Amino acid sequence: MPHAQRLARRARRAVLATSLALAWLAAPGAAQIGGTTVQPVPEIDSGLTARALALLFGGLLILTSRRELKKSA
Amino acid sequence: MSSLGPALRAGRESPFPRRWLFLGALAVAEGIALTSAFDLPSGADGGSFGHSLLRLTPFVLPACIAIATAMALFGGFELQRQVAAAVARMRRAPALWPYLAAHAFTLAGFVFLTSLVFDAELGRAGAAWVLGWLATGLVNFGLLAAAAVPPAALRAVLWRTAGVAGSGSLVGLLAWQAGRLTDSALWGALGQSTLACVHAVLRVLPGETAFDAARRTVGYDGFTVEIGTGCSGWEGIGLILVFLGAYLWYFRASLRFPGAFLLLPLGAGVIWTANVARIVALILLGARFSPEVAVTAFHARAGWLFFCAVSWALVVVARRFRFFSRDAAGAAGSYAAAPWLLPLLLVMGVGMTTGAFALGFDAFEPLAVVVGAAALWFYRDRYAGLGWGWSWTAIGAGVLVFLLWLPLAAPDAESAARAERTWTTLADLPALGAVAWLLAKVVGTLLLAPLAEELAFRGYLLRRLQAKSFESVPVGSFTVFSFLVSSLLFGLLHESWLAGFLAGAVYALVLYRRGRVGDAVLAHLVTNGLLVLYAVAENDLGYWL
Repeated sequence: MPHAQRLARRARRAVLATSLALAWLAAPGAAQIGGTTVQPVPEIDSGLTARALALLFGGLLILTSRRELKKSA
Repeated sequence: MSSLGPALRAGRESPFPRRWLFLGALAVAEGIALTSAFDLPSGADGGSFGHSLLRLTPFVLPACIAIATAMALFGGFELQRQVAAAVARMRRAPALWPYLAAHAFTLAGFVFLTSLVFDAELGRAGAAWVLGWLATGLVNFGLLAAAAVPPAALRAVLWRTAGVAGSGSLVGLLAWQAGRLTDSALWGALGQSTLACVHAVLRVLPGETAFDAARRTVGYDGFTVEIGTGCSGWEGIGLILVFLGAYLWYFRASLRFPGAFLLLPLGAGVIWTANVARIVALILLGARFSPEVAVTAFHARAGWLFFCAVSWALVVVARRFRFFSRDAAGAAGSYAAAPWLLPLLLVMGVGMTTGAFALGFDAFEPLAVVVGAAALWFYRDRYAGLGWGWSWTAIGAGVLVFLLWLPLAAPDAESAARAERTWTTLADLPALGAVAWLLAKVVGTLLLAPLAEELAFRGYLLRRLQAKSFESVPVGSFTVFSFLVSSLLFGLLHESWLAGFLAGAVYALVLYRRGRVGDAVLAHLVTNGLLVLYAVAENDLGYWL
């Protein structure tokens, strides 16, 4: 594998690892969503999370399934 | 299947790929049986071993996920290559049965010990039993792993991948520890800006505002909220960076670098702004409409809806502009997956939106039915050839799923109480409103849900899991991977994932028989129809409402 490609691969991995680290900066927040003065911290709703993730990835699948209309001669 | 690709190719002439599928299916079946038989308690307060495990989960689970993900990122591909190379070097696989016999023996021990430690009070269970339980579980798993990759090959694999696995674990551990800092040290860096921006927006509006930077509170017209860690902005930024990181990697061939890296700070900025808008909306909702609706229904739903909207917008930007993409999309085009997925996504999206403004009973739930039905009507020409017609097999399958569903998805006390509240609220509504709501609910359950869900899961996902260009895969084409994964995802969308998984599997089998999506829809319709009838006849409304 050429040196440039190897570097590019390492760069991509570094980006992913950094993203992961930053995501976990927020991890404790995920476990205690809320904290308002009105009501005790609500539990995470796993059903809502499943629906939201389905919505997110479903939308992504639609957006990435775009095909161009062929121009007629 | 793609993650096993190189290994499968390398071992095409060896018995390992087939063995891995068998062992994977065995592990999944055992996991299902164990999690169905032994449940953790629903609350964290209590003295049993299950309660202790539950209290440990918030610490152990993020750590395990962080370490596993980092290890997969660093060493996943290397591990895969080494396993493939190691098994390819072996001329013949060792016998499977000694491992399976030993596994059956330890599994029996593990089940026995699980029943013992989960039921007992922690003090009575004793450390020796708990250690025995852990050790048996590890041996049990180890025997399956040894059957998958024989110890002779495993030694070489572990030796060659130790470096990447070690660095992966280290990064995972560091990320986990860094995450724990947000609550204290890192809150101020972002949380104070969020707080100040929310306050600045609220001050533009006519009304009294409240602001206390030290206590992290901000309010409007008597309704004050504390900005917790999750709302400071870190959570959204972390999530969007993971999403974009995965997107950049997966679509790297079509993206233009280094320009595409700009999506990362752009995404972080947009999601932070959206978070400010969400908190402002939450405070206004609480001050002017209902504090309870604001902090329960709106809070989490709005967070997800904003996150989805921002993610989709960034994907559109990434694909539209030449700065980010090598093959930027032109103005004319169509979305191949839309007819299959959009009806279900609209039902879920509109349902989440109306649910964000409702406490318990959602008066606007029929709107989701109307919008979903409109999407089906819009794409009706695309569904013409999907094989609509009568099928006794499909009807029998629908009855079978109904019979499976009754014991597996029996409503718990909370669902039953929620259904009862819905019924009471309906009784208090004007007759016309109650009838209209119920009619929409019946149409949604009997027609819309079977159509939208079968189009998405059996019509689209079963094929998309086999090929990126799903339209080239015939409806009803079978692979173990697509069958299991689509059924599992279908299960996860339901309250009882096991009942949902089995239902999805049965509907897929119905589809395979004649290659007709219509048959799966009919089976699904029969199940839902029987559930509605049962719920009304037996006054067990938790099965439906």
